[in-house]
Amino acid sequence: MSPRARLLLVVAAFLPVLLALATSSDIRQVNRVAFVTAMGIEEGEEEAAVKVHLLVAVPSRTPGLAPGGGGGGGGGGTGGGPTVLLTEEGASISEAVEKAKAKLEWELNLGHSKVIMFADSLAEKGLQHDLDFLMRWEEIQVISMLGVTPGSPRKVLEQKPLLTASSADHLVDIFTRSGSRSPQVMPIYLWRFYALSQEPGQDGYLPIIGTTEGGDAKLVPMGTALFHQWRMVGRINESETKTLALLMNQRLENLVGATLKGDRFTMILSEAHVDRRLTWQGESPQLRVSVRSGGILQERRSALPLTTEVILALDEAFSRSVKAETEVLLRKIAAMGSDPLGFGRMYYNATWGQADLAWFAERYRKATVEVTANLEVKHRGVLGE
Amino acid sequence: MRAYRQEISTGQVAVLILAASFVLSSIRIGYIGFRLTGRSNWLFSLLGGLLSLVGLWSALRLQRRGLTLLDALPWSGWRMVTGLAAGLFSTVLVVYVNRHAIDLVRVTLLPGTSSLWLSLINMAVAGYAAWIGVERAMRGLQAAGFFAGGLLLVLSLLPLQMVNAAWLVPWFEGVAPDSWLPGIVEGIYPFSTTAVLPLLPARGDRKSERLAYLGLAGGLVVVLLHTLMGMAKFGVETLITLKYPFISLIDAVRVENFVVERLLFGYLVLWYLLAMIVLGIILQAGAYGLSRAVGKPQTSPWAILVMTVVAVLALQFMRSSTAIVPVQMGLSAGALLLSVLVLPLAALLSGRRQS
Amino acid sequence: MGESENPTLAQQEQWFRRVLQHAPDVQYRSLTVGGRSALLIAAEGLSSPPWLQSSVIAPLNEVTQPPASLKELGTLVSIHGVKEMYDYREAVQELLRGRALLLLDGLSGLLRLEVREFQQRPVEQPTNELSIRGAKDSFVESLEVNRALLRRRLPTTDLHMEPFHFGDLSGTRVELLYLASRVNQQVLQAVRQRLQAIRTTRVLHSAEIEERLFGKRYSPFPLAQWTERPDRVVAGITEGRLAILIDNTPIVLVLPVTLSTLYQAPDDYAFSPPAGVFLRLIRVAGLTASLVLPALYVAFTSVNHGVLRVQLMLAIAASREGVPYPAFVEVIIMELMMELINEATVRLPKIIGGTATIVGGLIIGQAAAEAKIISNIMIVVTSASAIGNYTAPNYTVGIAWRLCKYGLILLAIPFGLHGMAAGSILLLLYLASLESFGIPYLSPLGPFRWSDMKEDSTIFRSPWSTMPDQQPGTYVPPPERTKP
Repeated sequence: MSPRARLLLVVAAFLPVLLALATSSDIRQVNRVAFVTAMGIEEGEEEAAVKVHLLVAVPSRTPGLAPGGGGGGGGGGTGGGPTVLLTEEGASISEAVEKAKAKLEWELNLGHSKVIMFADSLAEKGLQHDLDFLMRWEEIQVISMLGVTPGSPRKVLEQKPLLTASSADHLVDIFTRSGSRSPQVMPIYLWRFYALSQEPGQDGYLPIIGTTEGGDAKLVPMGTALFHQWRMVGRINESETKTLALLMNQRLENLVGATLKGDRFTMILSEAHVDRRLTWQGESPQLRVSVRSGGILQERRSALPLTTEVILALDEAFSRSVKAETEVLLRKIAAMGSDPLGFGRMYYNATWGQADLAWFAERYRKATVEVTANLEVKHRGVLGE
Repeated sequence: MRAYRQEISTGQVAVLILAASFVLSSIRIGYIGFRLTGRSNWLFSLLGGLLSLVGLWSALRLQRRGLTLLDALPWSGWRMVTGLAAGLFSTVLVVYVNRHAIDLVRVTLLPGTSSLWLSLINMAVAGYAAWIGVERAMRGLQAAGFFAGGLLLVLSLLPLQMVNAAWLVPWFEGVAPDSWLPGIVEGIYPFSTTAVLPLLPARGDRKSERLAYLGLAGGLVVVLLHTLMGMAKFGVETLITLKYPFISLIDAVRVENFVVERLLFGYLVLWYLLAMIVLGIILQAGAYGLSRAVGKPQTSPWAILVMTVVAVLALQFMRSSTAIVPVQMGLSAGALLLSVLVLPLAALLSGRRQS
Repeated sequence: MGESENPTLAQQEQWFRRVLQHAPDVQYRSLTVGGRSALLIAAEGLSSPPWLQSSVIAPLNEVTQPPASLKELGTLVSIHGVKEMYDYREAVQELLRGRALLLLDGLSGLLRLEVREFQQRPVEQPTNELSIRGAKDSFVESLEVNRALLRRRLPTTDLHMEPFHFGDLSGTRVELLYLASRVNQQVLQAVRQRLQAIRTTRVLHSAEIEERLFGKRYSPFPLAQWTERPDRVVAGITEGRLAILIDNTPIVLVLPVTLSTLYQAPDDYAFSPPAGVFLRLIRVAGLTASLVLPALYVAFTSVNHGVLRVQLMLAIAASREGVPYPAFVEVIIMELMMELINEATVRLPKIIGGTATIVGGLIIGQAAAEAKIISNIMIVVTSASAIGNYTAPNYTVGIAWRLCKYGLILLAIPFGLHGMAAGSILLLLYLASLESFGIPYLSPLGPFRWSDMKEDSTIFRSPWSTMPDQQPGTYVPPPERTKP
């Protein structure tokens, strides 16, 4: 081929690109795109409908980003805040989203929606179909974090948090643990919840986030919702959530308290290790948990000197406290029929996949519990006494 | 227009096998293999790798003597049949991988662009790789592998955060008797490219051939890593529902405190880089088969053009929702047939023939 | 005049005056050598008058007996380069190249005297290829001086020099240098053949030789390395490459070349291996930034909004608030502005170069952002891309990357990351298909040769003590085994 012909070929190769400029519908300028940062899903007013809430970030109103400084007002609403909350109903989530898109002058982008909250009433009915949309539609990140709200998610999404610009930022910070690493919140990814709900012998869980009442309302963690086969079957409070996080080896700074001779002591657990085993007493499963951890003494509301005897007594007191909390929790979640710790999975593995999990689930509810806790006060903190 | 066909080394063959295994394994359909063989899928992948080893051994034996599959036997009928079969196999493989590339791009990067445009772009790139010749395309693949390989290794290992080893157990679960053969067929899918090796102008001595085996071993490691990580992260029940479980593995990695928080796009770009060059080499191999089948002594650029046009047009009739399963199984069956039957036969019957 | 046997001195002088009637710079001086008439012809400004006076005229004036032959005449002058010539037309060429001619009445033929001394630039510091620890001398316009600079560094008989002449008008001298024990014979043969095939009327620039060596091509990527540094040429020659010196140009061509060679700087080997690797990585990062950053900006702001973190996307969106045209227009405007500034900076006299810098800063600076012509982030992107481009040690390859950058931007506009990926693959494959006298351009990455990675690699740099003795490694073309 002559060089001239080759050159013409190269030039001609760019012609389709120029033509594509006129035909591609993917070109959209970023300042004409509305980024959804959080979603809320609940049952619609009509039967068999869903209601979707979309929290949209407005960059020109976000403080520090906009050239003019942006509005510093509250989240949600249609005022001068950095976010706008859209609510739509539809026969399905995608239909509701489509209605919302039609009402917005900018293109709606769900790709940055990192938090998806479900109403508790919807969770109790089962999330299987809602998760089908969330997992199927590639625009939704599978690393989105899920949660449950007592009542409508709208209240949570429109709430202005204490420190960040919008509720989405607040939720992302606590769920991803890039901000607060509180053990009272047990976040979970969308993909993880989906996998836990499908895999035999294990169940999913979702953190519950709500708002306090009154004029000075805040976003607060309210424990964890426990599931069995896509349906929410119960909930545990914040303190029980801490214990559950400990039992899942989530290695957070779990605070445990104990009383010794009427005085209160608290300790931060470090390097906790929890073993979970399933044993059998006849046909009745026994849930055996062993908790071993060192800790750093955090507060001593006592005049007792920290002698060796007192330290050893504290070890026992903390161990008893954790043992008691763990036993109560295990019985409670077993009674609900939820198995977030995977005891059913242990049975499934032990029977080489031949297990009758329905049979196990029935016995699991009445399973006995045996907990051993071995906590040691390894460090006294900065103060030696 | 000249048709280049310089020889490639066995080291380059190894890189091709490794890259192709990675490309095909990444787009392995979850609801085919895992539905057939469940948690035992990794065993069937291993079996597939071992069967493709037979094909590789046969291909190297031919190449040691400077022969391609088409020259293994002296009959023109043999040349025509194998040439056409190889051309067809290569075209279907290219169409299939291109289909997946378009699907992946459409759902992640360009949902609004028509698949025809995407197909044109992909085939233009693969066609160019075919046109410049196998050896030159291999240079590009090696250079790409040098920079992309390290990144891909890191990205491929990141999903190891949050895996649940207990989900790998039981290691083997019973597979229905009528699922054994389809399971084996599906298992060889990531190694399908081994079947086109005997069409490439490679020549190596016994000493350097171990590099090719090393490449296959590397490919097997990649496939097993994907499979086991997928099972440990998502669990088999979820894998069965996913179209691209090994792409979803990357999508499920969250990165904090960085410029991006999803690694999928970077992984896709790197996958695409390797995939298009691999497709170009497969196109060249198929074009060579077709050209020789019609009596031409060299790879005809027109054969490359025809295959490219057919690939673009065929895609318009290939629906992802219905055609994926039969095409993948057909492709894998073809690869199995070539690797286990045709190639060993050719290697053994070619006797002492030299080029 | 060459045909006539034994012409008289007057006839010879008449002939020269007729041929050179339009050359007033040619001077004629009559002498007497042992009582016989002689004629000295020299070009003013090309030969050295003091040298002529002291080494030619003065000794000849003291001769008492006229010499019987040209050879004997040659022994009477105190000049090294004395050559008998009988082709008068060739003698005219030698005269116009700065040599003097000495004719003696009664003798046919003449003597060519090496008395060239024309005004030339002294050896100075390199202007384009600076080095912190390396040598500070650079080539000049004189081929002899350049040759001497290389000879000083390689005082070995293994250094072969093959002369060529190009240009009917310019008569430019070109020399091909190589180490006979290390050069690849295939490459040498090919280069020699190509040089011998060059037909031209004049050669004024090294690029003319370079283009003619590789034939008609429209590729922006250089297939030969040009340098003004002698140490670089010596390094290349010892690796088995060839150098081409061209008279009247301070640039030497070294070939064959690979992309990784073009990305080596002299200081890579002046510092420790970790520092050398670090500097190379910086250059690779610069290349990446210059090539892909603008296209990435277009992709992220126009097509692929889901790639970056939402905080970054919101910041970009806020930054673009008020800019009245799409991002790709913004990118093209800024990139073209940068090209204008680059070109103006090169052309401007040094005196007003500073003014250009100030104006350039205004154009692509905060003022433009506040006027909503561009966004703030675009300033960062453009600057990073420009600075990344300046890290390329070879200016020509830097221009090549700049051209490719526009291709990627064009593909990113409708197709975003996918278009960029496709464009990058095409670029990679194109580079893979390039060969410099049979040597793959991407060598040693493609084809991958681990042994050559240590010597000539884009990234790695082995310690001197472990580097194999510089034997030809990378510069071996793959055997020509074209199979049907």
